[in-house]
Amino acid sequence: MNMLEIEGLGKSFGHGRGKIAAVADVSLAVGTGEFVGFVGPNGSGKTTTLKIIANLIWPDVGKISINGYDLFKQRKSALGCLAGIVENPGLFSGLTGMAHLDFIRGMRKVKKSRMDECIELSGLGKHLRRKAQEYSLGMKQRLALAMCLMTDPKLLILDEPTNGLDPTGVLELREMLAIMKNEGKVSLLFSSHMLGEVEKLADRIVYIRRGHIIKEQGSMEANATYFLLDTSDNPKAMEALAPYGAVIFTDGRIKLTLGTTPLDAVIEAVRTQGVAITDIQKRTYDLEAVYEELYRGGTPVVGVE
Amino acid sequence: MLWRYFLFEIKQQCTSLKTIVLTLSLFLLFLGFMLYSAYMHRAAPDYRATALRAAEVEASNIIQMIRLEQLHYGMDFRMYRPQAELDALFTMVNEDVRRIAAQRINLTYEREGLDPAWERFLTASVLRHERLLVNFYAWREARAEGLGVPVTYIDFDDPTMYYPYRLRYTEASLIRTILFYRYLQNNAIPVIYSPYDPSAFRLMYRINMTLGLFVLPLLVVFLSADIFSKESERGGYKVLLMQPLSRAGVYVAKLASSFVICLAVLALPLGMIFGVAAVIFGLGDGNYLVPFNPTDVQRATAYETAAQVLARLDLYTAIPEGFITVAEYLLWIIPVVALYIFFMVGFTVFVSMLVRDNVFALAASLGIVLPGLMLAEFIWERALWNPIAYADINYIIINGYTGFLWYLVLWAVAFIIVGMGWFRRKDIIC
Repeated sequence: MNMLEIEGLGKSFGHGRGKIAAVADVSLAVGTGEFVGFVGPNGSGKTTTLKIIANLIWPDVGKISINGYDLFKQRKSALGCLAGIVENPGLFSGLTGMAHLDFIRGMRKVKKSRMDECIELSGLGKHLRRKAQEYSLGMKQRLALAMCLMTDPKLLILDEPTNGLDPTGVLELREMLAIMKNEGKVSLLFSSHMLGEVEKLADRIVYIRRGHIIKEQGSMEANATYFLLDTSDNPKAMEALAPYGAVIFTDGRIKLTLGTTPLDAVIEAVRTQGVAITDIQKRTYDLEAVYEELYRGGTPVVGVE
Repeated sequence: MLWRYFLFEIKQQCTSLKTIVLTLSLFLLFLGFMLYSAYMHRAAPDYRATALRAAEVEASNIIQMIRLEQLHYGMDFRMYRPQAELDALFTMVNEDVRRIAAQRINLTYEREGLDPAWERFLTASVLRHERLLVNFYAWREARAEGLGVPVTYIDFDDPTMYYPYRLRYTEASLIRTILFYRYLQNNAIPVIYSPYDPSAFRLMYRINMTLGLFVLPLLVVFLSADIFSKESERGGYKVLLMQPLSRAGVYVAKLASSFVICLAVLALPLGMIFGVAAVIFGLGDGNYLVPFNPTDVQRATAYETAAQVLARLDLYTAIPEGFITVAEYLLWIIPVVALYIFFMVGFTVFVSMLVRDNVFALAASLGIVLPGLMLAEFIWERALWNPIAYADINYIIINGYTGFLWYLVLWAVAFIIVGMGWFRRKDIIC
């Protein structure tokens, strides 16, 4: 069973002509123990989607279930499985850090020992006696994370989790999430503009643009290799390469992602057509390249242009 | 779970600087009120003389008003009467009115065997109501026939229809005043009390009479107007709404905690000042009788005697008049104040839920609540505070101030139900 299932989610803001669809027909699933990265530029609908999942705003259409509970019909049960930070850490500014932890402890019936573990993990120590409004962004983030983790959530939602954290904090968070990932008890849906971070943590990456999910891929797939070729007759070469893998023409060169075919056979196929290969480079298909391709170069076209 | 959240809200509001400052401010306000009362109480020990002086001032004001109103009334005759003749006529009318009124009062005193010390009060009261009752033509007619009848029995054709009402009103006032004095005499009740008695019971009574109307709405608005908008603005919602609570539950918990906090912020300084007054000036007479009549109790202010309060009675009010002890009154006023706060909280929390900005929430609540209260006061100024009115559903719905309070409660429940529905569907954070 998937920990999170979203079906046909839609949300618009504004009225009349000024109406903007922030999220349009988003369907998504996060498996138990799966870490899913949510990637897209500003205004693409990531945060709105996360806010809807976190019960902060109401969708116009769509269904969401968390651990099998319908978020809108079985709200309490669904929210009992969820913890998260959306946009920025939401805190009660007049309360101390410790009062926040006590609140969560009371609401979720957390054991004292677990709370102490999370206090240790947050590294806030004596700062917990201070009011949250006096905290730096990084400290707020640490406190919010401690509040999330002490509930032992089945589904964790993090929107820009490293935002405001110092490098040590980022490393610690990453280590902590890696441990959680190995334990396999928690599912994570997180968004980030730090593509390296997403690449390191996510099992699967979901790309969103203008409220639509435009691509989903495994992170291993993202690390596949591809070749950039320059030939004496590129259109003819692309025709010849088409049966061997995904071929696109980009930046004046042919981009070839091979399947199981060896490179030798491909080069031979081009030469057979009487086309000379003037340059060939092997590249790793990293997340940044995918992102660039999706959001700056338009939708990838497979086949001959 | 909801109960835990309710306690959390209480804790959060209790520890907020605003709540502490408001509680302290109220205490200081009440303390100032007590000290002022104590000072005045020492400065003017002869209350009877003070009240008489006040009545004299009032009488001279009335004479001034009579002159002004006569000028206004005389406009009709100026078209065909020389000014000198009009002046002479008005002087005669005025003197006649006074003479007849005084005669009537003296006769009444003699007949009823009342204390002549109250003459000034009664004269002032009667003059105030009878000064316009003399229609020029009716007066001339009565005089020509040599009747010399009391003005209150002149049956004249008044074009405004207002004067006949006042005529009957004055008559009724006089009768009521006589009944009132008789009651006081029979029961040996001191009529004029020290308006500044700082003893605990009296102080509570006066604080309620003097400050309640303005302090309560301001207190509730300042405490509750930002109960939602504050969290919306600062982000506490994000933590809250991700907890396994229903949204309606969140709304109800916030409302209930606001209600409790408002009651506490009012009760704490009141209790403290009651204690302080009791220690310094004594508890006072808990059996002291206060008017509890079908009249506007809130206007029974410092210099007014019970006679003056009664003089304003609506003739056609069917509820019997009476008195209760100040202790009973204070016990009675507690649920009334609680109901009032309940409405105010219901309304203010509703407004707070609709807007996301602290300042706007405060402005909206104040902007709607205060003019609304003034309007309500205006409409119901003659309405009842009398629990006897509960017996009659028509009074509750139409006339009673207490009925008005029940109206407010119905509105509060409406705000709560509608607010819960809206809050469930509302996008809290965009």
